[in-house]
Formats: sequence, C-alpha cells, structure tokens
Amino acid sequence: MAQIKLGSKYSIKLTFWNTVFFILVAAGLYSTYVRFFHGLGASTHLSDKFPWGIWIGFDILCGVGLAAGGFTLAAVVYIFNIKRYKPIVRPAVLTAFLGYLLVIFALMFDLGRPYRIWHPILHWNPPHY
Amino acid sequence: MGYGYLFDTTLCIGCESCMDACHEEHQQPDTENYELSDKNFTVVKNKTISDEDIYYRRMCMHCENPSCASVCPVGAFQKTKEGPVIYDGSLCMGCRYCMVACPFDVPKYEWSKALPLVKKCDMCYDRIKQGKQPACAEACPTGATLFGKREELIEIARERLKNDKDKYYPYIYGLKEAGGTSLLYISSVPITELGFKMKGFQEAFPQYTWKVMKEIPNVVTFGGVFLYGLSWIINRRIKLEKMNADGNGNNGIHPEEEE
Repeated sequence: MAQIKLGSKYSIKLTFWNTVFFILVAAGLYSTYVRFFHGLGASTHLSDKFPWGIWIGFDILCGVGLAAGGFTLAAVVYIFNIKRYKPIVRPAVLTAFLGYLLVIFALMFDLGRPYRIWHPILHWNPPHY
Repeated sequence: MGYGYLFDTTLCIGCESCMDACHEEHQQPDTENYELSDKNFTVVKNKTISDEDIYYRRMCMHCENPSCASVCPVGAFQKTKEGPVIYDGSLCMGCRYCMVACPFDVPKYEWSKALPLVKKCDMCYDRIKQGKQPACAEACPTGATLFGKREELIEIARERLKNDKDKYYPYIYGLKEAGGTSLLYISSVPITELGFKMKGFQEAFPQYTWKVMKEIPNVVTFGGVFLYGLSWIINRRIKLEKMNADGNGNNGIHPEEEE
C-alpha cells in the first residue's frame, strides 16, 4: 500500500477508503471554490423556479432529524426516569450536537450571506397582523 | 390603505416603456428576457386568445398581507403604510424562504453572485415618498398602468366594468386574491387564462400559518409545565417505592426490577 509522508512524524496510508475520502474532500473543496467565487447558480444549478434543493432537503432536514432523536431520548430518560436507557443518553446527545453542527456547516454554503447567520437571533420577525 | 396600481390589459399596447423605465430607475441593463429575474422587476407578456393579442404586465403584487414578510426569519420584508412591500437587503441572510413562500413567484435571487441577495419590485418606494409616481406608471403612454390610492382605483375599475360590459370580463383580480393585493387587474378575458392563479387564493396566506403559530407560546408554556409535573410525579413515586422497600427490609418491590 502506498504511503504519503507528511513531514518526519506523520504519514497517511492510501487504503481504499482513504482514497475514497480523499476524492470526496477534493470534490468538496472544488464545490466550495465554485460556490464562493461563481455563486450558488453555478455550484448547485438551483434557479428561481427551484430556490431550495438537495442541500436544504438532505443536510438541513437530516441534521435536524438526527438532533431531534437525541433530544427526544434525553427528554424521555430524564422526564420518565427510565434508568435502563441512561447509558445511551450521552452518545445520543453528542450525535444530536453533531447533527446541528452539520446543519450549521451546510448553512454556511447554502445561505447567500453566511456571515449573517446570527441575524434571526436579533432581528425578529414580528407577527404580521 | 395605501397606494396601488390598476392594470387594464385592454389598454396595454405592449410598448415595454414600463420595462425600460424600470431598468433605468434601478440602474439595470436592458434585457431580451421576458421572465421576472434579478434584473427584471417587471415584464410585459403577450398571449393570443381567440385571435386577440393581449399584453399584460407581471410584477410584485404588493399583497396587503404578504407571505414573504410573514415567513422571513429576519424580518427583511415589510408592508409599508403607503402600500409597497419593501425589502431590506442589509438584514437578509439569503435563505430564499420568501421565494418559496410567494404565491406569485415574485422574489428573485442573484444566482451568479458570490454573496447574493433577493431582488424584487419595491413600487419605487423612494419616489412615492418624494410624492412622485413610480417610474413604470409615469412612463406608460396609454394609461394601462394607473397609479393611485387603492380605493380610488377600485372605484375606477368598477366604473369601467359597468360602462363597458362588452369589452371587459367582469372581474377585478387583486380585490380578494391572497387577502387583497395593491395591484388590481382588469381584462377582456378571464384572468386565469393569462396564467394568474385563483384557486384557493381567496384568503391571505399568512392567516393559514397564523392559526397554528399563535398557539406556540401556549404549547411551550403548558407543555413545559405538564412535562415538569410528570417528571416530578414519576420521581416521587420511585422515591416512595424505594423508601417503602428499604423500610420492609428489602422485601418490597425493587424499582430496578419493576422497570
């Protein structure tokens, strides 16, 4: 198996899965370049007819869905005091946290102005009647 | 109620003066594209129905109770008292919820920009505040686009429908659609034949979600109290059972076993 040396200390073995992940990372970096230099239209082929696409559908909904499971489990364990499930609360909450992290990461690409992601916290939308 | 437009398709000759005036007002290049886009806030469209050439305009309808303003998570859209639905680009984070929500497919996005914003007609809000007409209404040579107070425009539309029954199809589009819009259309054919949607459009769209959304503070408050009470009761029972079991020399029910 081929090895890539990174300095004197670290080296990466080029196993099958490592190669797959390298290709994925390269594709991701290229998409990032297209997104932030040529816009959302060029990188996602979204249009005025389809303003929301697979980034919202998959990343956002899957991430939130993953998080919802963890928090529901935590609520069940603490409210109903079911001690048998207590050992899986910590991994579940960690997974939930990672789910929300995935959502935020995906939003950084999908929002037109990612640096304004904090706006919903301050700029509330008052009920419109 | 504020200002609005009355658009009469029987008077429109398709000269596209309104498009040119709009491009000039918003410093956009002239395009050959006849779809609404980030560079076209209004377009003149053409349809031939039973050998009659009908020209009509598409632009923001400036709803009385706009869906875009209702869904915006940052409150970038606002229905002003003068009538226009305006958009504040300094608040927008580009989530495109307004584009999904708009029943008339009006807000458009700058797809080719690295940091895009939403673009749409603002009824030339700056000009209205200066006491001037919007650019498109001022440019219209035939009076097909009439600008004025919405109530007065409704009166004019009713008058026209009454005085010329052969010429018009007797319906004012925009009176009730999507809870009422600042744009009113009258036409010689049923307006649905020009691609305007009507089915299920008689109520303002934010009212549908409001029926659910207004209950959220109650659900959070009472749900929280209910679940806390449930937790308190269950924990107390477990504690009592444990005390009971300890008191009887561990002959009672073990809480672990019961689960």
